Amino acid sequence: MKNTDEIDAMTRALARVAPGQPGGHPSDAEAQTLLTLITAEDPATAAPQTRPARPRGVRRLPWRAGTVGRRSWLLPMRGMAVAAAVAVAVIVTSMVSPAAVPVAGRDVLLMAAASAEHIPQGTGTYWHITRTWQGPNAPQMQESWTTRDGHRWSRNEPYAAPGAVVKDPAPFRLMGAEIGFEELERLPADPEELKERIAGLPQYDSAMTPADRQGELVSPLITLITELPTPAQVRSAAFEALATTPGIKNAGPVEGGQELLIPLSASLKIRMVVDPEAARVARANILLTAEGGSAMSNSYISVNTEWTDELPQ
Amino acid sequence: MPDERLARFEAVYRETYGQITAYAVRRCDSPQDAADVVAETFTIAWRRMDDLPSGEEATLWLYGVARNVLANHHRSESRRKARSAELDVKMADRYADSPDSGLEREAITQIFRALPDDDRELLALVAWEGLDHKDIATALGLSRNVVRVRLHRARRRFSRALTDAGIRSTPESRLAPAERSL
Repeated sequence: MKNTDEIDAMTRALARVAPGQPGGHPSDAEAQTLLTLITAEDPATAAPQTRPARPRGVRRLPWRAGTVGRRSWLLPMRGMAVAAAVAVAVIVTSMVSPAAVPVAGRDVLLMAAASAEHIPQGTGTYWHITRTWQGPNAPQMQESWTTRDGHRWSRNEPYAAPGAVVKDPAPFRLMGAEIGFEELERLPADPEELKERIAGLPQYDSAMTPADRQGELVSPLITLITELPTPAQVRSAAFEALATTPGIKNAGPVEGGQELLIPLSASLKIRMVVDPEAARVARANILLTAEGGSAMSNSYISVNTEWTDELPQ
Repeated sequence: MPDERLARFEAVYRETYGQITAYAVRRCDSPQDAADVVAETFTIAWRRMDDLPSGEEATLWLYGVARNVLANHHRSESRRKARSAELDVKMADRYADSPDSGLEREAITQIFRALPDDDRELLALVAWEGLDHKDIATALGLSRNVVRVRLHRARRRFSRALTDAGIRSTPESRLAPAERSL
């Protein structure tokens, strides 16, 4: 038998991170974000057990528990910085006229609110959501198709075989509570009334940021304009209500819209590209999903929504 | 009171983040798994602040939590082959600069991985995290004596498997003599 020292030395040589070395630094951006998300959860309302019950397919607890609850995961990082830099360099000048004049973040949202009213939602059997982001080696895509009566299929969700369209029931959620097509359609088309109504909806503290719990409602408003099949008038109201959020900044025009920074909590900002003409959130670094989760990226997750009659098999 | 709790958690987080990320990265095959383990470990810590010991024992306690998280993770791993790519840039870097694998090293890695889970963890806690018997006993909730006996067996099994495979020692092990032995 080899001696103890030799065995330990051999083991030591296998360490991916050398003994004594840290795996990461608490000052890293992702460490800070993780801390913010974890501590956004009110421990008093959180499940006290070691292994909180997970709804089907849920992973990445803190992200779930932190900002927005339910189904969440942490998205890609490596290689994305380059892609983002490229995207930022491609400034689309036809965006907002005149392109040279800086537009306040608030105004971008108000423009989107104005556009939203006139953009019909389209028709079809399935509400089709597509998320794309840059993976470590290749672009990644995740899709879902939901019928009005709540049947849902998805492709490339965690746990599923890659590429296959599988039945994947998961309700839409706002503030952690389920919300159906009909409820979305009944939401008020006036910004103030919309905020009031949202504040009165069922909600789970653990699925909200502290600011939202105090009535800011930034994350549910963003959820309404990002992935949910929100009717045109309500989308418009949500954009307008969101525009009243203090501290919104416009980092300027980028490909596909204007890059806004919207405070989600004291220490966490969402960076999202809003196309004021199409009244769409084109991409975001923290995506608040229709299923009530949050997905994060050091760069961007692009999102596209449409009604379609086609369900790939 | 909530502020106090937050301040304390932040202090522990800052203090232990480097160690817990290293722990996870050393044991997970992919950066996304490692990011998962780190995130879940600290979430549990936040929820169980009342159980979180102070001082140096906090790290050991977190190793214990991470160990459980990891065990649950591995159990569901086969179901999760096909998930979206998700990773953390800093952790990804760790994987990027994984030492290139010579054949012998590869063989040692294989043998190490084939060891029973508990053996591997004990050997790793000593060699990777630099824990002694007492630390390991605290982290895993075992008596020191049990740790000593199990560690002895683990080393013996690893050694035997290496000998069976015809491996004597690696250049790394010759270059990096043990700084502490138990």
